[in-house]
Amino acid sequence: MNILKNLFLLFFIFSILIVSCNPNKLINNELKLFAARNYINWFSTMEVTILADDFVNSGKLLDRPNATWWPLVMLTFLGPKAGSNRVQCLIYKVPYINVENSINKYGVLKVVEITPDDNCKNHFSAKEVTSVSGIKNLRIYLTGESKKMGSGKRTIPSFTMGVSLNRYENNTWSETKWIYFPLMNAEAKSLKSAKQKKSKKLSYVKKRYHSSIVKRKNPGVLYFPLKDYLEGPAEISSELLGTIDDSYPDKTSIQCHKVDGNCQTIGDYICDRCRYGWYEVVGSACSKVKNKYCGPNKCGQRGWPACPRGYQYSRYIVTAGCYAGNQSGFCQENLSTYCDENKVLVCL
Amino acid sequence: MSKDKIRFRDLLGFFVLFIFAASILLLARQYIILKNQEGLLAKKKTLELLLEASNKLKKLWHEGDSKNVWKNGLVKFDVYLGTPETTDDSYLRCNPHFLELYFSQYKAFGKRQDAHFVIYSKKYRYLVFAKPVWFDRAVDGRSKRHYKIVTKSNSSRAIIPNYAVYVELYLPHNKEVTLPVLLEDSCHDVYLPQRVYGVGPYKLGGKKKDWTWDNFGRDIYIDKYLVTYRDIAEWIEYSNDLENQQLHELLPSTIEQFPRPATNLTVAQMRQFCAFKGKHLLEAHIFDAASFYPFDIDEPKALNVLRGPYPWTVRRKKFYLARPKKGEKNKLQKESVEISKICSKVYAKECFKEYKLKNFYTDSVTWTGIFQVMGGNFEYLRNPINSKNNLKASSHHFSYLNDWHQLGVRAFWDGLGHGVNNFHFQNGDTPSGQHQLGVGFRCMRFVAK
Repeated sequence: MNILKNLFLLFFIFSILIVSCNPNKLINNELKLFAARNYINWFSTMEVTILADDFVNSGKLLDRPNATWWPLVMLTFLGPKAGSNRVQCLIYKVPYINVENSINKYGVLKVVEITPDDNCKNHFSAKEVTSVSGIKNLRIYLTGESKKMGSGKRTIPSFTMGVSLNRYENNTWSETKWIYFPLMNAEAKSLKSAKQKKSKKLSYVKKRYHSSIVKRKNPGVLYFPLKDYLEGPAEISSELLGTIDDSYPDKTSIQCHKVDGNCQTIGDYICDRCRYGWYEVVGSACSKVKNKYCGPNKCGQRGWPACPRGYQYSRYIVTAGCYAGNQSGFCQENLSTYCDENKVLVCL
Repeated sequence: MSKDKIRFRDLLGFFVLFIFAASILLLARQYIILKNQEGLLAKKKTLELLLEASNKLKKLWHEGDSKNVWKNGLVKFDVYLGTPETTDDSYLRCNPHFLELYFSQYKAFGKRQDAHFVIYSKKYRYLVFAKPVWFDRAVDGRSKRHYKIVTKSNSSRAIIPNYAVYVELYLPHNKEVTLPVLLEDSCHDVYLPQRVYGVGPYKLGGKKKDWTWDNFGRDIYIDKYLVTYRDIAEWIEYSNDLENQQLHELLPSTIEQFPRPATNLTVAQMRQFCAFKGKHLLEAHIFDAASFYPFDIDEPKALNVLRGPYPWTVRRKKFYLARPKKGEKNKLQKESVEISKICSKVYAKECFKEYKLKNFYTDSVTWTGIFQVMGGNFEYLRNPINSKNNLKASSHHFSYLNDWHQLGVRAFWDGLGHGVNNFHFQNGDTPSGQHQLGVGFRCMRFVAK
């Protein structure tokens, strides 16, 4: 009986000890885990849209209005299969600071996942990926070139998102912590701001002796997500366009880029989806940007579009547009230029 | 009374057991969470190491045999790379066969080269390897290669470049986590600067006779070298087009020929090869633009495009390759010229005996950085201005004294076969004593802003 009593007492004390086991280690790891999870997801990011233009790269604190949620950045990165790109939003809840300037409710940094056609403004209904609380003095930096930024002029590496913050740990505020997220697949033109829909930056170096590799964090190298496996011989999928036999005279060529007279793109630019390259055609009213079609190029031959000759090779003005005899395109001997039903200069 | 006491004791016992069991479950849950978290942190650390290894992989890909290991004969030779005696080491840059040679014989490339890539981090040494990912059908169909070729034509993702080499990196102690990397070709093409260009030899009479064009607003990249048999072998292996499987007869039978320009394709096959890489056949006026040295290089909009007959100078002196005899302006003095100086610029007929030409030679280069422009092999150039002038005739078939050795002077090839009857050398000499004439080619690509 006494043994039983003692056993019960032992079990009880042991249970109390276990229950009271305070997982401080888990709480203190929260920031590390937040950084690790996002590092692994975001390293294959292809496109970044800065949603809080006045905050990101400014060095300013986002501290008003109190206790509100702010979408900061939207990142698109590769999923495991074709057509399965993932989109996540980085959201920040501003700390609540009372009249005496002491913080009552700390800030929260949260990452949610949305569908590719959704919006970060709908983050309340989106699935949360990870978050970290107890934050204040958040600053975010993101640039396509290595730059010294912030009040301390810290060097932010190129194509890397730098996050600086203070965190409430062990009943005190920590020193400023920095977390870096390399965005290995992002190009200069894929770093966009929400205000400016299309980036004007160049992804290629267009100088003598330079090759055609794209400027990235590691130029000429693309990364796929961890444990991702490319498919073997491909089936024809909707993501890539065209076949090797596509022919403009046979009307099987796919137009991948269309511009209006003001050089604005109509629809989407999809020439990066052409399976066998693309070529330009002459005929649009815009002289700087030309319409484009997927497939092998046979310009200048009968029935095919005229080859571009340019608009600045002559002392006389060469007018853009589609009309017979347009000198901005040329054909083989014994052929002349005509305007077809697609407003493309063709050779007949 | 004792019964009540017993019931209370039972209840207390059950309660304690319940608390104990719940505590065990809680402890187990926390243990699992901690393990998952440790796993996540370890995965991040692994990724950081693999990313650093990918920097070394890219350096190896871009620089090739920078340690001269292959050049000094310290490794077994690969069929597709030729030998250092016959092939320039620039051929090994951005060459997947050189990558494979490195992965299979990495220990020869350094004293402490215990792995494909050795990474140092916080006083620890990590060994990173490339994973075998592709069955080498060319060897025995069973052994695996450490890379595979990925193109838009054989895959289904828009982000994949037109041509790239796929490699997977991993750490031996964490094999489940592999990092797939795509290496783009950063070595073999060059940009054509935007300016006004002329076509063919400069025509006296100024602008009225000279045909000019410009590429402002267009971005064109041109292959530096002619397409080789190694490239053709790769195309045959990785193309999804089933018809190409019958093209093995195009490949050479001897080892030494793989680094050489591929000269036995028809125009249709050339076009298909370029399309496989998302490129187009090089056009004659673009070739001229990349070859003729601009007289006024600092003025891209100069409308009078003066140019000389040779790619290495603006001088329009015709008889650069040999001096005329005294008093006889039209008779060139063969003996007065050092053949080796000629052959490094123009690999002509006389050069076979006097000068050993390496595959992928880089002796003669144009102002834009393309090679193999004069002498050497015939080259097909699609000519949308004059379809009868589509063959660069300056080649090893003609003496260096021959007028074919000038830029912009072209013959005709029908593109269907390689017999002498498929060619027409208008207004000039024809190759003698040959039944089959090989024709090389190269590609170009357009890039959008």
